[in-house]
Amino acid sequence: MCLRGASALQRAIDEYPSETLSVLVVWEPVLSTDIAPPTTATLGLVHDSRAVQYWDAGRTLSADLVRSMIANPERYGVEAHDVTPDTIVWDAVAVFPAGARWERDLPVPAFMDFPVVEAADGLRASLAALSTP
Amino acid sequence: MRRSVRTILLVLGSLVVVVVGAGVAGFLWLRYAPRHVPDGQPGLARLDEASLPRFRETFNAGVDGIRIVALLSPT
Repeated sequence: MCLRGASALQRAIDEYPSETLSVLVVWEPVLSTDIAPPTTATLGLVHDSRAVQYWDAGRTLSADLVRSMIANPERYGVEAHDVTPDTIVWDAVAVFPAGARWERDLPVPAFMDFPVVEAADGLRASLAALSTP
Repeated sequence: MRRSVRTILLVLGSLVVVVVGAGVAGFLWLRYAPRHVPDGQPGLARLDEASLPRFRETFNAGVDGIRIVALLSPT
């Protein structure tokens, strides 16, 4: 599912040629087969030169996002009981508008959804809306 | 009768060898396959507690544009 999501992500950003777009792709082990970083073939699914790819073996980013959401669920529009310290954020995509800065906590995304393969239309719509002056 | 039992055992044994072999090959591939990002991208970076502030800096460096963050599993 995640590999299809990576392809869907690439297709979505293909339609958005802005040079100011940044794409941070974080690969993390979740499934029992995730025993090592992504292979060249997997990394190639997101081949856009605006992308930076990471291997997060300890799911550090997921834990940090969960920490932010637990600290202030209303800010992120999530129900408090939906997020616990054991929650893993994965197969998810978030879009942040220009101007959003990440200080202690993650800024509120303009769009966030999962699984990525099913979020592609929303991702496109968000990119279109945010790029409209 | 005895011959057919031997044949069945031989076939089952061969299947076990093939399945185990495929599993070992798959494991070795996942563990030791090349890991290169596409041309034009910076190398695959490790993200952990120590490098999380740098990740945030990378995020903030793109403040003039839209940022996408995706979390995916590699298999």
